[in-house]
Amino acid sequence: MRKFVKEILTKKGESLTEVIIAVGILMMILAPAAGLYIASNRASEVSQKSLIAHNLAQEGLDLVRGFRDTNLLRYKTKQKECWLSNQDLIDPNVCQNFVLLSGSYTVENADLGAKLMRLGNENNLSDTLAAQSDPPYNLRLGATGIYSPTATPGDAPSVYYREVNLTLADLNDDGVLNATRTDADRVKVVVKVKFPVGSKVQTVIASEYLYAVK
Amino acid sequence: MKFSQLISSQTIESMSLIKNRRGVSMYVATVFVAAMMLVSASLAYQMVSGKANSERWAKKDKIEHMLASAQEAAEWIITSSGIEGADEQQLAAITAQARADLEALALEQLQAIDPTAVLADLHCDDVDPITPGEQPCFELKIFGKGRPAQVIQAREADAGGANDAQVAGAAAPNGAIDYSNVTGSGKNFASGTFQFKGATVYSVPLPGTGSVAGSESTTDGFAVPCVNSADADDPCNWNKLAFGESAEIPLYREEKDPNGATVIRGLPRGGQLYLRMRTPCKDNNEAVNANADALRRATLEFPNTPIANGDAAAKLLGVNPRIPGTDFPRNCPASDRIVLYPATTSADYLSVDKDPVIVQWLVKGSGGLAELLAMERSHDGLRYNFDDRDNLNKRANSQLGSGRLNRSIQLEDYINLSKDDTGFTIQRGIGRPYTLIEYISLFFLNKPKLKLNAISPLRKDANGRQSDELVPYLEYQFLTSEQIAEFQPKYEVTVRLFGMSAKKSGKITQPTGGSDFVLGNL
Repeated sequence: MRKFVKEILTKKGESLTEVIIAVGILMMILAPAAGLYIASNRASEVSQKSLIAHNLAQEGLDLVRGFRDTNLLRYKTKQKECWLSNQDLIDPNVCQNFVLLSGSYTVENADLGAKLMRLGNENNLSDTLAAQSDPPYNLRLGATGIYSPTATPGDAPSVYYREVNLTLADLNDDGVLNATRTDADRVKVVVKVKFPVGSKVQTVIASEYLYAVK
Repeated sequence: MKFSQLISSQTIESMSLIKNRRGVSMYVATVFVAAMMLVSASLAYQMVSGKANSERWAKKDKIEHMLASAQEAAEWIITSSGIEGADEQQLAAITAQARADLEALALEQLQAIDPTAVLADLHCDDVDPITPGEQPCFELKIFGKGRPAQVIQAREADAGGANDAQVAGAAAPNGAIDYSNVTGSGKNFASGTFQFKGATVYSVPLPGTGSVAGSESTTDGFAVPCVNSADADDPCNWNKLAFGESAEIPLYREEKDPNGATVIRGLPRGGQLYLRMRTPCKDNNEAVNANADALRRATLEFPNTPIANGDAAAKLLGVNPRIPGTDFPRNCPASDRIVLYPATTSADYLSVDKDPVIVQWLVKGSGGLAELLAMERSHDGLRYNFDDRDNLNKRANSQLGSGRLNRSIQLEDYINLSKDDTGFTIQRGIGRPYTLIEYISLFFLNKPKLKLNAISPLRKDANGRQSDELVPYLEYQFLTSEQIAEFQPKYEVTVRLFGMSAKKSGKITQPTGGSDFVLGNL
């Protein structure tokens, strides 16, 4: 035991040059690896958020499609005029005043089909993710795991922003929409979902055409 | 001591120390570095593959959206021209708008991935015609009820698709659905009946949609897609039937009455049913060089201006060499078709022992009287050929041998199913035998279907002997004097983006008055 202790105490250590070289080599190996690790983490984050964003964009399209389909079922006798009606009343005779305008909306699930909200000025959009409550484009994550633009008890803010842009057209007549848009035949639906990645904002866009048929 | 000498001596000393050092430190260092490199490589791979997967996923998404929009557009065209009762001009405008919408959307989808993409890259612009090998980024095919003859002729002539509005003014029948084909290239045409043996007939497949020409006729080397379908012998009007396959053709249609109830309708008693079968055209590996024209294809130009009387819908621009293995002429004479063993000149021709049954046809239905099948008959060990069809005692024969098919091609013959009245395995036993058309029209069979079964390998004839070489398929065409089948306009949409392709099809049921209906049994 004494011999072992003595050997440790008397043995010459590594020279400073050796230590510096060793640390240098280690740094050269670790630095790119650390960079790669950070980049990989970032890519993983983008991939994960992108997946959710694509699904939210798809959900946006599906909700508008559901909105259209529900109206076609609701207003069997006035499908042509009411397929884009945005009202809660189930009355086949009063939908004309509630036909959608072209513009930006937020959309969410509702008891009967989807609910489209266009509460404010559609020009009030920007590429930032600043909180906007009118209409609420920023989605919140509910306790059930469902994203929604409407605040409910127990939900939490999410990083996702979803905007639904509708463009109505009259194809079957004179090509010009009438004042109440009841002659609309087709709507172009563009759903934009934005989310932050570091200091930048990424956008996922999904677009489809829907017609006054089903 | 100079500095350089100091460094030099120190370096040498260090290297010497490292080299001569005993112990495990070098091994530990090596393992450590290797592990770090492995982890780094793994991270890099995950990063790259994750990005690639995300991109692939995004592309698939774009195609799905495009497909859904194309489907909506197809349904819109059908319902706008049918339920809404749009006239020809409106239909033309709607069709043109739908096409423009889809072109723009396709570009948007592509630019979301590749911002530098332009419309021409998609073959979505009005480049006409699409050259062989090119494929449009989307296609809408809509099959429905035929328009009045003058409209059909005008629209067939208007294959360029630019002047649909010029046929405006032709009255559309109530609730009419056009048979249209709208592609990204701007093709837009209609089709209906054609002439056969001096009579107007309806066909399966629908004119211009036969599988012999392929779903994408441009890939089969046609100079122009299947738009000129007025010729009964055009390959665009024939379907393929390969060994082991069967084809079922409904001989009835289902309609919805105004109350939404399903009504079954059949063929009228006076109707005629013709079955035509032939072998495919020889490709240019065959020894048919004597007929140089058969090895060339015609390039046709379709003027945009409709031709009122339907004549001269296309003009010949020139002939080009056929593309080996992929190309075949639109007009293939009997002499250029593959001959099955045994040829008509062979000693084995029509021999029951040597002349194999290639195709068997039968009419089947559901319910008590499930099946009608004409039995094989022979006389003196020989099968009957098509020349026997007028002999009342011999004409019932649902087994089509090679010899019969060879003979059929030479005679440009056909089987008149509606006249066969004997030899069925199941008889009603209520007095006189009924003809096939009576069985069908009187509903002794419930929902009757004509079934074709290719039951033997198709072998070529080699100078009167059986060749080991197989014929890939036969071609068939089923003609009726009346339109039959469902009143269900059918659509098929195809999208090709990012090197991927997706297809959807569907039917739309519409109320009917009962007098007009479509041939929807493709």
